[in-house]
Amino acid sequence: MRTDSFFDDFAAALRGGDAQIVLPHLASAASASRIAVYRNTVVRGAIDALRAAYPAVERLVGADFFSPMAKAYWETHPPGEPSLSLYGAGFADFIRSYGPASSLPWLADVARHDRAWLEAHHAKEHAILGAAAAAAHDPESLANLAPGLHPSVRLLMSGWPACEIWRRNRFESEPASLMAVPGASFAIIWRRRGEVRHCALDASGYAFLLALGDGHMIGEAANTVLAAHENFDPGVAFAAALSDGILKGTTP
Amino acid sequence: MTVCPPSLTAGLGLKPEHYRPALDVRADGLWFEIHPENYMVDGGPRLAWLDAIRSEHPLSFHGVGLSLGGPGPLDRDHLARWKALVRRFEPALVSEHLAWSVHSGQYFNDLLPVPMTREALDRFCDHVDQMQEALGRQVLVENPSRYLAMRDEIPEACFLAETVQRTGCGLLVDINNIHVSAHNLGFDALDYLDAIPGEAVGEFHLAGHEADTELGDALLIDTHGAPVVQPVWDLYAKAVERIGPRPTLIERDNNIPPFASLLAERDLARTVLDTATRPEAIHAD
Repeated sequence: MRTDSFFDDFAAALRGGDAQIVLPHLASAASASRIAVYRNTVVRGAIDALRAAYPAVERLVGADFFSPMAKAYWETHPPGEPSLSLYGAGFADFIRSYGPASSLPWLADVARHDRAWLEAHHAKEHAILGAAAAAAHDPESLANLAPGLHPSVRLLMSGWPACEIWRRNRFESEPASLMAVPGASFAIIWRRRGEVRHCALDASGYAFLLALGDGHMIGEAANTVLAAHENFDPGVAFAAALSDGILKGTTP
Repeated sequence: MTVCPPSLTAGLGLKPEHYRPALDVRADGLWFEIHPENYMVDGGPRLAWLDAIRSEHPLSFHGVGLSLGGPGPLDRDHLARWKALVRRFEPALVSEHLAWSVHSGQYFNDLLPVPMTREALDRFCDHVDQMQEALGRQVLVENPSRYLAMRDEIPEACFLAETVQRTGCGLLVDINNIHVSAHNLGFDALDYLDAIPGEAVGEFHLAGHEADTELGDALLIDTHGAPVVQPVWDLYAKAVERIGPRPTLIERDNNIPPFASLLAERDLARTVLDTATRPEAIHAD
């Protein structure tokens, strides 16, 4: 028996092809029905991984809708890594183009929040810039500091109240109403002391952190945001970023 | 006769919902087994918990994704992540499977069956060599649960025995898998045990299985979702009698019960090991 053709044929059957193709490799024809055991395990494992990673999405649409959607994702985006811990990076984009979900235009953005939570949870450790370290700088050197964001920070923008829908469906017993009205929303999801946190932002706070994330100096970022949002208070936004552990520090 | 290192007796699979009680529990010889794939992340609480638990209990790393029995070359990046974890956590035991899970860059999250052919044996030995070389230590390989009768050229136990001889690897003997495979393929579990080179065995696994939801009792599935059944305990007692006491894992990955229930099941394995380790039992060998 040629072993290589066995692997090709078996993999084809797992991907959804006719199990009969594996028959020549088996000692008895009756065994062909047993290939379904493997295929079911593979498909169920992928769906379960997506279910664990996207709990707010599943709660919004229900398991009967979620499972076929997750299976369709697996068929077009199978895992390439031998670990499912971070499987499903493209699920939000997939949902956006998934026909049956088109009546829920904010679902993809809710999925982005679930994904941000997962990425923040598993992100690299890094020292943070705290109030004491910041106070050691004189005002000018502080303005010229470009700390960047902690590796766990994810900034989110949506044309829907996606953060609120996500929060209520992920953390509260009363799910949010499906009657969402369009309107911009901004949020940050990050990890602090081993725990993933989330917070709604306004447009200016979002723009300030986005600029810092792009590597801009603090003074420069503040001025850019002020030019577009006259009510922006850089002092308050910076103090909050320090106390929430959002900025990258240099000490180990 | 080989006996358990005194530090390792019966262990448990480590589940995230049990991190706190696993950290706090004190039980002689207890150890915890993990799938390293679940810890191949950059940072965060999962790794922090494993660090904490490692400071209190020995660990065993049981891989499920290296595809040692598969056709392709081993995934170098995956092996590098394995190596980094082994260096960081210094597990007492390291194991993988006689199975495959990767084809043309796609990962199938299951332990897929390897045809027991000469060609497959050559490739498997080559992959075991590569893994042992990369990690700089001996690896145990586990016998699979089999659901399909394939056109084998070599009996599975001989396939494993030859792998041991060629690569110097050890064996992880999964007692439930022998029971399930013997039932599904119709061979004698005790003959299988006799064909295993006992001195190479470094670990036993015990788990629960269930009848297939569609095919019924004709096909037993290794679900890791139920307690160990009596016939598997009986086969385990015979394995310990023939091979000797070895670190033994209670594997449970689905329908996870409270931690105390798993500890109680673990105590049953501990009792079997203790009986075999007592001096009056040794002369029977």
